[in-house]
Formats: sequence, structure tokens, C-alpha cells
Amino acid sequence: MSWKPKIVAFFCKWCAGAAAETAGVMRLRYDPSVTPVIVPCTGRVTPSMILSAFLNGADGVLIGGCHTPNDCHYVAGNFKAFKRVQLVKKLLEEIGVEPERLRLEWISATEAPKLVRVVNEFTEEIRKLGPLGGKRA
Amino acid sequence: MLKLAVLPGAICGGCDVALASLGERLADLLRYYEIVYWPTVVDRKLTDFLKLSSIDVLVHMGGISTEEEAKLAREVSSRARVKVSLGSCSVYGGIPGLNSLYKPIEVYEAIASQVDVRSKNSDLELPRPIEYSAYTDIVEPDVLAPGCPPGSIVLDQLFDLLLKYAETGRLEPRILLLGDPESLCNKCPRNPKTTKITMPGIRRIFEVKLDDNKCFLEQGVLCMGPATRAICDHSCIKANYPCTGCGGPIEWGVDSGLSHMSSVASALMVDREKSVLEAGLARELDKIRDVTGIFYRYTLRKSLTYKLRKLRVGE
Ligand code: SF4
Ligand code: SF4
Ligand code: SF4
Ligand code: FES
Repeated sequence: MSWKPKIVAFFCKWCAGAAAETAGVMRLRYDPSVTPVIVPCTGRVTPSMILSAFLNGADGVLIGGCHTPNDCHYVAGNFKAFKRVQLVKKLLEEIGVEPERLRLEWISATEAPKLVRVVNEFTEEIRKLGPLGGKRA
Repeated sequence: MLKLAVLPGAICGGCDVALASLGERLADLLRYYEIVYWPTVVDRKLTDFLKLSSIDVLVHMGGISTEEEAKLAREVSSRARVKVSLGSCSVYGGIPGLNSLYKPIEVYEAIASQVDVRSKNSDLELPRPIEYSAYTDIVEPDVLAPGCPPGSIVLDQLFDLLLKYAETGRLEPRILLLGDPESLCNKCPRNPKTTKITMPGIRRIFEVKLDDNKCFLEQGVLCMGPATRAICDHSCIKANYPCTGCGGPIEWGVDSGLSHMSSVASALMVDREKSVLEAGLARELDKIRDVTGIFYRYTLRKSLTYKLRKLRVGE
């Protein structure tokens, strides 16, 4: 059992990204299998960024953004992200990839413990799903 | 005289008709070109055609679904000075590219179960499909002429290009994607122009009484115009039918299925997000069945989604 899940996390710099910083300052531990990518807003995360993450080795993709309805700094980038994620999940399901490998969460800058919980939960879930590639039974 | 050959791979016949629709302009081309092969139009045996050691222009229509098609396409392409990939099957894999979600054997079995191969004397044999690909997956063409079949903008440009090549012997730039480098929406007669497009929800085409002057997206009907290259004179839209994206991506190399998904996400209920919230948006999006078939109708074979599927099944 040497396999470790790889996770790419797109964090909005205003909320989830800031929460990740805070988690660091508070010395809260989260799973090291996560590679955070800080984006200016979740509205910036395109379906092609999500698929590219999977194609480049991610077993799971996590997106963390500002709470709806009113916290996004660019008015509605988070809603746009929600709609894109819904569509990409449907697409994943159709091509035989578990939609659970893609997860969107709203995490404010003050919610460092939630960030840690979400990251750990998600890592555990991906660990259970196993590697994305090569569908070994 | 220059030698022009039209070689079909896996075609439906639509591209043949589109090319033939050049009509009188074909006669103009015949001043410079001799058609050395085009099964639908000229009577010439393949074996005779294959005796030619070189041709000037090859137009390849259709995708590649059998070993024979692949071999022939490679063979003939290697003898051609200018290679034109005509039609979305040839350029992007087209509609048959949707079968890349299945194994060739599954495709074969599905066909075999529906086709009667019995004949009076000896039974016919169905060709064995290999993994389907676009012509552009096996050969690097000089000119890409997308559309299913190619629309008027592409056909006009192709005609001009063939004429110019005959007159000057030059083709520039080397890899050329025909059609205009803009989205189909740009010059669409229904483009609301003054405002951003807003989708009120997701509606099936039979659920709305279509207003034939209003943008389809604004009536809730999926239209692929925003991320489709301008290759036609809005022929579907003028016939009161939404664009299904046959022109492929606005730029070569872009994944148009993902772009279509983004554009729908951008337009859907933008005016009401904060009142319907996630649940309301999800309910609308759930009405979209067959995401792959709708957003990738012509381009799945060239997509990141195709690659991800391959990665998933371990190929
Ligand atoms: S591109 Fe369309 S019209 Fe041309 S062969 Fe393919 S399916 Fe037929
Ligand atoms: S979405 Fe369709 S109907 Fe609306 S402007 Fe674009 S091409 Fe025209
Ligand atoms: S409107 Fe769209 S689907 Fe129809 S011919 Fe033009 S590009 Fe193709
Ligand atoms: S600014 Fe954080 S999701 Fe838009």
C-alpha cells in the first residue's frame, strides 16, 4: 500500500486561501497530499483547469471559495464556479469517473478548522476511491 | 493541370454534397485542376488512382474507422503536396467520435447486431473497426476546413484558396483553420448586443414557443454559438434551430466542449442566482441530459475529456 492520493486544491485567495494561511499560523495539521493553488476567485477556475489537474496526476480536485450568496469579492464568481462544477461532475459521471473526485466547498477566511476538516475528509474519500488512472479493480 | 483528389474516409455523404454544392465554381476550378479521384463524382478505379506517384491537392473527408481507411489515408497523403482536412469528422472526429467512449469491439458488436450481412451467394463481412480517430490524428494537414458539413464561409474560403494556389503555387500560412476567427455569436442576427446574454433556465426546444428573432440562450434553449467558430452564415439559426457547434472551437487546439460548458455556466440565471441559490441552479442544470453528447457532439475525439477517459480505463 504505497499509493498516496494526490489532490489539487484551488483556493480563492480571499477566503479558503486565507483560511489555509490561518491554519498554518494556528499550526493545524492537514493532509500533505494536497497541493493548494491560490486563485483570485473561484470564478477563475475553468473546466479545463479541472480536467488538466486530473490529467496531470490529481486523483481529486477540491475547490474552496467564498460563501454564497454575498461573500464573493467579484459579486458572483462563486455561483459561476458552482454551475461549472455541477456540469463537470455530470461529465465525469458520463465518462466513468466518480463525480465525488471533484468537490466544491465554501470556506471563509475565518474558518480554518473547517478547511482542515474538509481537506482531511476529502483526502480520506479519495483514498477510499483509489487512484484515478488505470481502473485497477 | 494540377491534380486534385477527394478521398473519403468514414463519411455520411454530407461533405460530398457540400463540396459538390460549389456548383459552377467547380467548373472554375476545372480550368486548373484535373480531378484524379473523387468516387462520388468521377469514374475512376482506386487501383488506377494509386498508380499516380504524386498529386497536388488532396481533400480528405471523414474520420478513420478501419485499418484500410488509415492505410489509404496515410498512403495518399504522403503523395500530396497540399492536404486539406474537410469536415468536422476529418478535423475533429465529428459525431462518430462520440464512440470513443466505447471499445472498438463494443462498437463492432453494436453495428453487427443491427446490420444484415446475409447475401444470396456468400455472406458479406463487416469491416473490423479500429479505434476511431480524426484524419488529423494520423496526418498533419495544411488546411483545416471544419463544419458538419462545412458552411458557406469555409467553402468560400476553400474555393478562393484552391484558386489562389493554382495561380500562385503558394499557400500561406502553412496550417490554416478556415472560417472566421470569432464566435458564431459575433455576427449572429439574434445577438442581443446591448446586454449580456442571460439564460432564464434550461428548456427543451419543444417546451418553448420559439421567438424567431430572439437569442436561443435567452429563451432557455442551449445554443453552442458562443464557443463555436464562425464557419457558416448562421444557417441553423436562420432555420430557427440552435447551433449545435459543428464548426468546432474558435481556435485550433481549444477544447470546445469545455468552453460550451463554461458559457452555459456564465449565462444561466445570472440575474437570479442570489434568489434561486445553489439548489435552484442545480435543478436547472440537472435538466441537461447527456452532457457529452450535447457539448461534445463533434469534438469529443480531440478533447481533454477523451484523454481523461483513456487515463481512467488505463489505455
Ligand atoms: S463532417 Fe458531417 S457531413 Fe461531413 S462526413 Fe462527417 S458527419 Fe457527414
Ligand atoms: S447564443 Fe446562439 S442565438 Fe444567441 S447570439 Fe449566439 S449564436 Fe445567436
Ligand atoms: S449554426 Fe452552428 S451547427 Fe449550424 S452550421 Fe453553423 S456552426 Fe454548424
Ligand atoms: S472572491 Fe472568493 S469565490 Fe469569488
